[in-house]
Amino acid sequence: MKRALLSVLLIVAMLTIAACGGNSGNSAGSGGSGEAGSANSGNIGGTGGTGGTGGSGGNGGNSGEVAELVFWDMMWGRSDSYPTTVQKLVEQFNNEHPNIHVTVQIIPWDNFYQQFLTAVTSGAAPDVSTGGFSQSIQYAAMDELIDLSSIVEEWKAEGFDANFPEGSLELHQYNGMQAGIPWIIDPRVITYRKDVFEQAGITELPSTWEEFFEAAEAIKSKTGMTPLVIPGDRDGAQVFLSMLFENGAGITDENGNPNFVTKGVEETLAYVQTLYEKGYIFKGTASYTDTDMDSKLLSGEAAMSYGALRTTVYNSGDPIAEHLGVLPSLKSKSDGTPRTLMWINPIVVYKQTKYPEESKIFVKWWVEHMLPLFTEGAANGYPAVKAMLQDEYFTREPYIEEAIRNAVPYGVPPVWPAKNLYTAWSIIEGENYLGMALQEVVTGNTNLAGIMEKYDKMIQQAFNETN
Amino acid sequence: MNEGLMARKRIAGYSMLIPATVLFLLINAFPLVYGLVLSMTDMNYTKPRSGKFIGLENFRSLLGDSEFWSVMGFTIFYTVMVVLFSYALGLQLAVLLNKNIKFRGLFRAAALLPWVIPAVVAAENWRWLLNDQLGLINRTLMRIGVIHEPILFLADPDLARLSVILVAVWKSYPFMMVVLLAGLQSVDNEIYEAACIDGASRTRIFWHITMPMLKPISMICVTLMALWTFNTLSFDNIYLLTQGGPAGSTYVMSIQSYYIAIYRGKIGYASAISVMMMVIIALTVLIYWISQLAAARKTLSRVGEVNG
Repeated sequence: MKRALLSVLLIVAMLTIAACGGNSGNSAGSGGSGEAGSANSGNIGGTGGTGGTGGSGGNGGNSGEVAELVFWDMMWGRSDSYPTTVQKLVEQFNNEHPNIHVTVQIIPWDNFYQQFLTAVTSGAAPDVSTGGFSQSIQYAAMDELIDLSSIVEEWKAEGFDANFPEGSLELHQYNGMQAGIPWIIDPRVITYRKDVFEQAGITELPSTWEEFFEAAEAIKSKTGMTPLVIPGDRDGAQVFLSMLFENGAGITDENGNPNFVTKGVEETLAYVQTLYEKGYIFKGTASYTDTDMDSKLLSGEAAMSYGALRTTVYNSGDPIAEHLGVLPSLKSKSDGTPRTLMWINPIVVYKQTKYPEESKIFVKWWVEHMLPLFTEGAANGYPAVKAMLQDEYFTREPYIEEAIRNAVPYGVPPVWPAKNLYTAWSIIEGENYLGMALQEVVTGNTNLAGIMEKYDKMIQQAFNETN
Repeated sequence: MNEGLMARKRIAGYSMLIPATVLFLLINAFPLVYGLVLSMTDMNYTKPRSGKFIGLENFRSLLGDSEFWSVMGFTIFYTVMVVLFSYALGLQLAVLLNKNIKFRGLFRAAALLPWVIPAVVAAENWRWLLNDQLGLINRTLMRIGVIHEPILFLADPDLARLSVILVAVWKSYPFMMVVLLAGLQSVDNEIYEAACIDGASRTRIFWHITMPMLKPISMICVTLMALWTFNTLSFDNIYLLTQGGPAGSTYVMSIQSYYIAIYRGKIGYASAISVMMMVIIALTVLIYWISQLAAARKTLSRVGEVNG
């Protein structure tokens, strides 16, 4: 009898301990289960991304009590500067708004898609977040975002809305609702080494594909360097998309209908094929990541890179940094208009928030005051607010200034020529169709028509599944 | 009174099993059953009103999808190659390390290193080693003149397949080695001595004594490694190294299921792929079990014949 009782007591004790350990610190806020994320300092400094923090805790926001908001911001800049800048800005907001308290977590880019999807579908979404380009449409289609039109209306009354790139607000609209507010623009650029161009005797910067081939040939023959390094992983999809835009082609037509079997797409595949076969890009391109691009530039093996701004190289202190420049966006002969891919990423508010009005107040304030994220936090990209681009930070650094001058005016969003984001984009981007098409070419597949048809079928299927 | 005591002891014993059983049900049984249920629905994260029961429709679509067959083919090929080569390498090292050599303990510990290094660390280091321009392997081979152009370990589709297999073998052989070494140490030395006295060569001793004695333990470690490689190692290793590329050449079923669930939101369809994986594993284990039963019956009937 005693032994049985002892056994039962032990079991109950063990179960109790297990239950308590699993639920400690559960804020049980609007975001559902998860550990409380109220301690700011524990979540800053690049240590974020635990994904365990749910939405806000506390009681209703209209009762006079402080509205606790959880803000997930991505690691948009360097780990030694961006998180502290974000924290400083959040503290400024908190000081100016005593009835709202924002806690920020910095989320790493690795597996961010999975992290957000898991958080939202399990009821553990933050109140506000930045994130991927298609996050506004993806979660609006899942009915997980709130309408931010009231913010846009206020800006229209203030005249602030004119600051946004043309079409960028419409880009993040879904079924009449403003799903996200654009806040950061991030063009894809061709970074080049001015000293290598001089050594190769290139006096005029190329502006067309044909001129680019000539410059590449000169670099290869006179310096022995590989002219261009591009990524082959998921970032390769962005480069290929940018090249499509240079040629006036895209994934869809202007009405957003899938259209990948076109002369423009075939010409772009042929362009990449030429770069590969003539040795203007590395044979190992298919396996290259963003890190490989930096290392190829820093090691002196590549003269140019195509992708995001090379701020890591530029800020590395390496001697080549002072020779970096940005080529003007290219155009092809058949199209004649320079273009480049430009991400216009949104900030969104989730429906799971208990404090929608306070969240909107925070979003409006954040976009209006975000300049330090770039000037102090070294965020990779530029503010979507044109007035902020006048700051001397963007004009005093030659590399940054050239990117603004040579790429930003020609930037188009990833869904160009369509005007609005479509839900199939998250599948096309997530499953890396364009990246795989690029990989096929840079691994020696010469059947360009076959590649085009294969990925057109996949793109069509993505549209069918999401319509 | 004895019966009462026995009953109380039984109750106490079963009560002790409750925590482990609850944990097992939560962690193993619930996801398994839920996954089976999901595989028969059209559940899609991106479509709030999805989740209807559709029976075997997902499986019908899967079996009609040529991409699935191609991915399954590579998954099975990958598993077979990894098990085969890790067994061969593990066996060779086990035989060597079973001998009485100097610093045997140190060699045994060193051979275990690939097993203890976390998968992420190992994959990142291998990516650096296999890099075409800056990787140690290519640089060394080019410096000593073995090759004149870098080998595209991760950029060429065929070589990428071999590379992921190579890294998986490197990660897996310590397990085989440890298990086979334990098996070798359980073989009675007198049998080897008797064989030597009878004039058997080393090769004959290996094939006719060592291998048969290792058969039971070999079957176990091969089966475990096959299950593990098919399920887990294929995902960890390949996702970290190539993410299924280049151009989908190293796509395996676990990665396909993951991508479909996460990027397409088609959790029902992705669950169907996982169920198919479970069916394949179950069939493999069934075949092994039947073969073991058949072998045991054969042995029993031989013993019966001998005993008359």
